[in-house]
Amino acid sequence: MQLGFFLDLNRCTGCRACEAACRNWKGMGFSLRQVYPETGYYLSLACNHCENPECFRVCPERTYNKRRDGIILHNSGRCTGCNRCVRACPFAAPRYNPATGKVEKCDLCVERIDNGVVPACVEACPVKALQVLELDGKKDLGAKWVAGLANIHLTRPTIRFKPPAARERHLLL
Amino acid sequence: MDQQKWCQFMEIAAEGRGLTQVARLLGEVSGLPAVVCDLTLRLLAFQLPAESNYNFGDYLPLDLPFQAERQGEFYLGELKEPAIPYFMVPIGREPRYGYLFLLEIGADWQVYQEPLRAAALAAMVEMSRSRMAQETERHYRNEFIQDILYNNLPNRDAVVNRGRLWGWDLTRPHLLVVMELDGRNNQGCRKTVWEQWHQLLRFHLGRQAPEAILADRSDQLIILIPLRLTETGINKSIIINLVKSLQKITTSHLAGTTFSAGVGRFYENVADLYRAYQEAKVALEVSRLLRRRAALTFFDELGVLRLIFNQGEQELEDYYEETLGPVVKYDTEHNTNLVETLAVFLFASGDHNRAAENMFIHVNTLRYRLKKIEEILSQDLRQLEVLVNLYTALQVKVMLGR
Repeated sequence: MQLGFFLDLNRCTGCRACEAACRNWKGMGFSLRQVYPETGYYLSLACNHCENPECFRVCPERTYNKRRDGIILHNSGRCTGCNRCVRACPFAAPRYNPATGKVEKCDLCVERIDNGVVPACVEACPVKALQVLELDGKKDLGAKWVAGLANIHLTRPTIRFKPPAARERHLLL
Repeated sequence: MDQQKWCQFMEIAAEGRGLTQVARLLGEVSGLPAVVCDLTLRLLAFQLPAESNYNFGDYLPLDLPFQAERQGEFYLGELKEPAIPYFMVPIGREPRYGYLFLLEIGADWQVYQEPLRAAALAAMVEMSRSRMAQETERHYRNEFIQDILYNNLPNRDAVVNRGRLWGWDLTRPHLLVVMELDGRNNQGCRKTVWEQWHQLLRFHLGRQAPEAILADRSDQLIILIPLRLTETGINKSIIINLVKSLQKITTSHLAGTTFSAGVGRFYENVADLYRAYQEAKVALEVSRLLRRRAALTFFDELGVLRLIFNQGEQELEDYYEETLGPVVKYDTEHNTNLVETLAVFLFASGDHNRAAENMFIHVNTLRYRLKKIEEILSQDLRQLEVLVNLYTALQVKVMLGR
């Protein structure tokens, strides 16, 4: 089993409620999710809980582990703040926290997931553009890549997208 | 066939007396040699007449997929060597478990449909029962291996202690190999081939490296091979020979199917295997990006590829255009093949004679073309720096799928 985010690019309005929810839930001065404006849509990205996580490979302190449900966790107790994972991740998911001198990373709000509640960012999305889904490898649950996302060949992120549909233009005369 | 015989087949299945008994009863009922095979045509049980001198070895001499005449659910055909006519029925439909054969079949094959059908049903019960036990074991083994490979266990002692429950000595250092079938098309057909491949490798690995641990995750097979560290490091030839032998077996048994493998670095501590796993996957992915087939790639031999594989596509395109762009443009405008010449020259390690031989051209023609490349790029091909840049650009070209 592998959990991952799903983003409907037609629905996301770029309101940044997900960013604010993440900041509030984690109680940090910055958000682990960021919204990037692209041409015609917004990309709301956090950790993609990749199949082949580079952060996991390069960490010299055995800080990362991947649970059976595919969530990649970061053990702050072991982190020395060397920033190797920050540099290695093509999606800039791990972020250095100057207040603690350690790296922080989206853990899909694992404590909420374990209690059957969706992550804070998903709950906060007013248009339900952001969701969590279970990838079983059989069904095609959406596009794996859209313009604006870094190279996915190596790390194989688990995020899936509903690509933006061609929009009709209505002129008021 | 009378109802009593049907009951006998069902009794064997219900009591779990094994495939040998099914083959024996089928042999008695039909009076013909009966053979039960798995999906890779490996012999699981057979009943041959005492006077027969068949020696098939481990596998029935037949090519997959079957080149046989179909009669409803049955197949009529001939073995390869010796050329014995057979009558066959697949065991199970979805999932399929194996095949049941009656040999030395004559023109009266219709008579044997009923016994074969009853025996296939009994064999299916037997095989599904043992498959269920195997699947349960496989599930728990995979979960444990996954915990090791995703750093989910707290320390080395926890790994070693849990390994003991499985009868594995994880105090010894292990090398990790990740394997995946080449070609990613046709998922339906691929699933059957994957299952056959898994069965094949499990059997042959058990023979060639009985101490190796086999696990699977999504569509990859993972092998952990215990190795002894020598003064000169690890002996890679052991891995190379093993993987090549498995590749040869796969190609010969599965109609030209090939697989590629990636090998992580060697770590003495089993708790560091998670790192080797990620490295092996990177090595495999890089070989995929270079569109190699049946490749064995070691992470520690990736060289400059390790630095470029993780670059963004735009950076790679820029580098490629800046380094090789003028030659590509010249080729397009003048209908020449200078890029191909350069690639052959570099992959022949700069050996003019070998490169000319590989391109079926005279060595002077090759020299002329290389001179032309030097003119276009205004660079000297004898400089190591230039050669390295061009070699890297050619690798980028493959990665970009140009």
